[in-house]
Amino acid sequence: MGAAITLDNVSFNYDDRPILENINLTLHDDDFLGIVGPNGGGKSTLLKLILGLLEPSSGTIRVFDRAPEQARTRLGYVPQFATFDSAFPISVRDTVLQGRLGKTRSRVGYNRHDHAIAEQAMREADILDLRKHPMTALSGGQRQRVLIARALACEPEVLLLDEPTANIDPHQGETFFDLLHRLHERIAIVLISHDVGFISRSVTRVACLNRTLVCHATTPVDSESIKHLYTTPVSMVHHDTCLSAKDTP
Amino acid sequence: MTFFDAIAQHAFLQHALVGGVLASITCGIVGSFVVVRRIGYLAGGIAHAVLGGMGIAFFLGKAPLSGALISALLAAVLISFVTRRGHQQEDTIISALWAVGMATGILFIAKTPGYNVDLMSYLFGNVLMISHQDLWLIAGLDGCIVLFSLLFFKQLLALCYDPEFATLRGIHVDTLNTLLLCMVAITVVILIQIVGLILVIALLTLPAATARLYAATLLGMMFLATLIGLGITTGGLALSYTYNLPTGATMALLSGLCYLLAIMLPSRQFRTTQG
Repeated sequence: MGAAITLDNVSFNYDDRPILENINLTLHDDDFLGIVGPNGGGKSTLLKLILGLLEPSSGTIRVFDRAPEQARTRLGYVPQFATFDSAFPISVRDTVLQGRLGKTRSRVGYNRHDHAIAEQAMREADILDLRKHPMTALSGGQRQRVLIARALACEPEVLLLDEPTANIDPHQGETFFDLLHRLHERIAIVLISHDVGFISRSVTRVACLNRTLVCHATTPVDSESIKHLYTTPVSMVHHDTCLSAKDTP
Repeated sequence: MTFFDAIAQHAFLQHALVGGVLASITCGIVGSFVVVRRIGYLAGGIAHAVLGGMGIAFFLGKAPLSGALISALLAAVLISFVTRRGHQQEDTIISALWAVGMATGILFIAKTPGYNVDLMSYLFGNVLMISHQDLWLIAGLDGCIVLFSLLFFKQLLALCYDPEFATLRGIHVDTLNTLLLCMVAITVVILIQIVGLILVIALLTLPAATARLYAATLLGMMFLATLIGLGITTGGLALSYTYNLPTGATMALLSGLCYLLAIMLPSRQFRTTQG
């Protein structure tokens, strides 16, 4: 077990407004870390710092003991779907093949090895039968799986997912977490969500992020920490199983 | 004399026809990139800034086409730097370039000694005046664009689809974006010969926008847009010859009509496959 990602006293300001303050985090290569917190709490910013898309205002970030920009091809990133054009004319297979960029040995286009890996990624994400469909013909949940397959085609050592449950209805959500469970057998996962109940069933560690980061060693997030996180009392629904949910005010 | 008889007889019509075919290819390829990347406004800025370079070249007694090429590439590089980091005054700067470029061109052309008829042909094109030499230049530029698009297709596709992901996969997104805008600049210069700089945007975006309604992939969109472009340039030429109409305007109107019909027809590719 080694450290895949380490953040040491990382702060990030946007126009002098502090977004993240003194974040310390170590992600081991067998972790399944859930990061929860309110909207605007800095969750997506944290992922972008790890990916090297943003520079920290202070502190250091190491990914596989290198600077994030140098190591980011070893990470798989699943963005929120809303960030790009859903009417773009592209097939499922061509989207997934983009994961081979930066790894392919083919000068022009992709070679058979790339196609084989993309196919394996689509099989794993359970979208192989959709491979010839245009992206515009897919449902929100299917698109999410395509983006996961694209990230898997990168052959990542860590998978970072930004709000992957936003477009998925509850039933699809179940099988979605089965998929993440299976993936976790071989790679580390960081999963961001504002949906506390959804996240806490699957992950091995939960961190709460609202400008500062509070880590919890074991899964269940207690109501105190959530109240602290959201600063106002929230109505909590605790899922023991899928079917029985009870309110804890 | 019908259009087809006339083609067999007149070299200027043959040149115009070949020019239209060559322009359709770049329109299909680069126009598709422009439409999916939504940079029509940037392309408009480049097109109008070109008049500055043409005017200066004209004033200095050089070939306006070389002035056009230099100013188009300069404008492309400038715009790519301005848009690089999401500059706050991005649209203002492009508008300024647009207007200042045109004004510079008009001033230089006005101060050029002698009678000049060329201003109108720059603005609205004069496909019937294309020379043999122009055609070779256009063919060369066409070749550059086709070759570059073939070699870097997967990178360009990633840039247009999801620039953030492309960055994460190690693609130099900023450099590639500058090169894409340079392709737009070259296409603009080719199209100025055909429809003039004011109507460039019609041929650059409308065939591709029409093709997008039917195509499921970017490559399919490019092929379809090229075919539509062929129809528009050839049809526009035939109409303008038969009814004695300005060629550029006829082509631009045909493009608009084509797009309008396409969006009104019900069976569209992404409508039917949706859901």
